[in-house]
Amino acid sequence: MKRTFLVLAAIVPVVLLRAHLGIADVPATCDAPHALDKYKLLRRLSLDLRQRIPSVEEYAALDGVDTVPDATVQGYLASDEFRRTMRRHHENQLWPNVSNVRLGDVNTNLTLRGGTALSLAGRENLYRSVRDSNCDDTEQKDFDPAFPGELRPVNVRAAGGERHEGYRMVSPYWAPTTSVKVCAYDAQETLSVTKAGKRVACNTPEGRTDKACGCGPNLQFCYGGNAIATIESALREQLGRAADRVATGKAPYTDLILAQDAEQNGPVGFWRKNLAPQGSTGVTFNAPLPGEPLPERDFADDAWKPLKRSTLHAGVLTMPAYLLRFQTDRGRANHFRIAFMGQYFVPAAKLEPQAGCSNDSPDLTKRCNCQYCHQTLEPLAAHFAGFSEAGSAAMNDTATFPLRRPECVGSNSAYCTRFYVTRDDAPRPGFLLSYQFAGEHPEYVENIQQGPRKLAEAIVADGTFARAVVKAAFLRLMKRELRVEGEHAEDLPLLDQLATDFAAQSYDYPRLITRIVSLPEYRRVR
Amino acid sequence: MKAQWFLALVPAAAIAAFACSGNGDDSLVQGSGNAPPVDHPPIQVQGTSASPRRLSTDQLRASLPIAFGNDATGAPITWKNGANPALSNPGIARSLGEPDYIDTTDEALDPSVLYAKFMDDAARNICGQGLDADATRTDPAQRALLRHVDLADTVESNPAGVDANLRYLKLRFHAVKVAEGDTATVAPLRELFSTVSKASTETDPKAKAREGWNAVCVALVTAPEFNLY
Repeated sequence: MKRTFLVLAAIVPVVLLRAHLGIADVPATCDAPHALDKYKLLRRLSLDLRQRIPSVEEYAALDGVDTVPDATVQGYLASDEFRRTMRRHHENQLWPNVSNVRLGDVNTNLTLRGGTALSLAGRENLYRSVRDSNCDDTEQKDFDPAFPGELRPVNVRAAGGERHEGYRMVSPYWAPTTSVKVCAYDAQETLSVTKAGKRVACNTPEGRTDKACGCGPNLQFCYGGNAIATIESALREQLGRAADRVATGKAPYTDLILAQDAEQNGPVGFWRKNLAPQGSTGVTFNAPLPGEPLPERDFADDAWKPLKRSTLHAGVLTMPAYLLRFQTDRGRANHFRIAFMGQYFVPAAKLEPQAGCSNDSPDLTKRCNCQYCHQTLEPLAAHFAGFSEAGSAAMNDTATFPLRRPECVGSNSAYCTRFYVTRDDAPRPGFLLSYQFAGEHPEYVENIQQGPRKLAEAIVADGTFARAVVKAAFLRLMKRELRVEGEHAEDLPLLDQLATDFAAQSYDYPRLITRIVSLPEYRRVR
Repeated sequence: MKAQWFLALVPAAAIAAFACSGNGDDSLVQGSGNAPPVDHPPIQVQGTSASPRRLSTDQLRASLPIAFGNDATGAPITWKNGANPALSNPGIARSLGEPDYIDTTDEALDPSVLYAKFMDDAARNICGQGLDADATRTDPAQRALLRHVDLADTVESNPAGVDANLRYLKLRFHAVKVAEGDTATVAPLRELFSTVSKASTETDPKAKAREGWNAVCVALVTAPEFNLY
């Protein structure tokens, strides 16, 4: 067997070279560019549009025809394989993997922590008046009858000011057919409590500091098991489905950056309603807007249903997967510029400070050298400032995020340092961070208030978007860039024509793909 | 071991050379990584054609079962790493250029030596599976690889059948339609089949032929024409 392997290993490469490169058998000349024959063309089309080679039967169907029929191409474009192919194309552009994002923290993540029952590390002091504590390994039987259904533990073991409750068996939302041991304080099913005369939900920052608040029914206010991975995977899928809709022609391609509606499945809906409102400042901030519709969804429900979003939203740009993948306003704007404008920041070969620039200006549009890119980037980034950095929460609720909070000046609270200008010697102390430089750049205000939608509408209107989409599709299918710059800009008329037609045909993406794979350049070799 | 590494590099060089032969530039600059040999005659290339690219991990995942069909149990044949599909292994997928969008964000599609090494591994694994599956099927029309020969056929016993099968495999794997009377195009593969079959230490004629077909299959799967388009 070993001998056969060595014979095989020795012969195969030689045959390979002779058979496929013709090194020994043909003169050292290259073929002139020529059209692919129909079988090779079918293979190229199938790989580009379906991600797979054709079957031998599909090759055989070409025997009686001159070329690959248009109906075959249209069949490929209508297939689910095309959707999957384009999913990859759009993921390559948008990088929607958020599996490394922290959704929960010690106040919301249920862990074993050395005990036999799940509990919350961040609330042990609140519940038991002692740190590094856990519940006892006995079942908690007694609950306060004054609060029926809330299962608040009473008659717990108390010693030296500490309290140690037992555990309860609970069916968690992430595995409802099973039951897990949870410390009884952490498993309390209270939905809301009264604080300072106001009724507050237990899954809010105010509510969760009350010791009567636990993880709620079925632990719905806490993360555990595979819940975070399931949610993050669903957020990626949510963005992918938005790309699917436009890529398959179910909606104009502009919907990718303009659509107000979206889809959500059980895990996304459940997260938004029950878990995202926790709104911790220590991790990603994803609290929904007050009054935002939050339909009841079962975590185990995989069905995707339409979701109406507010007018602030703009396609994938305001989806959690985009906002959490690119966590700063600048990062979001820069990636927007790359993916949807086809433009990249390239440092100048030689940096020459502009007249009047400053080496220490906190405003990067004025700082020497930084200003090369930031004069463009800062106004773009302002469009994303209506959404929390390191989060996906809209910040246009003036009750939670007033434009100015004087009490934040000099404050080191997590809330202030995260969202407000706290230094008294900084520009506009006490203002929301996103408005820090809006005094000198009044255009930022409109950008912030109108959000990514304004930016998206502008690049659609001036043709930048159509050209960027054409360039990206061309690159994928032709495996080379369009030549539209410099001395050899021979593809410029083609770009203009494809982009103009794309816009004129209601941004019909499959039609654009058809145009590109019909080009003689696509159907040619060398 | 050194010899095996060298041999693994040869198809890589072939793939790289094939990939670079039409890079879409107006002129090829000597001295760059894409340059032809120094004694290559001047090349006049219209630079507007599509450039070649190697198969992506997605394309391999979807294409290998099309090329090889199903095994005896009806499951699609694909490259296995132990009992599991190799291309489902995140480490292998990433090595083949699949981005995870956290650590890697570009889908690497260069015809690298690493890619050629993996395809060599894949070919040796998957060709055996395909031939094993074919061996269980008495009706040649149901076979993926040996559709025009009997399992023990040799070049001497059935030259027309061997050539027909090679033509069929060239179409199946490379989208090359070889005319019925064209014996030259399949001659290198016929030679490979014959040489390896005869060199086999097996005594069963079916097993000898199987080794010959395995060599042909590995040649087809590691060829630039399978891996580039």
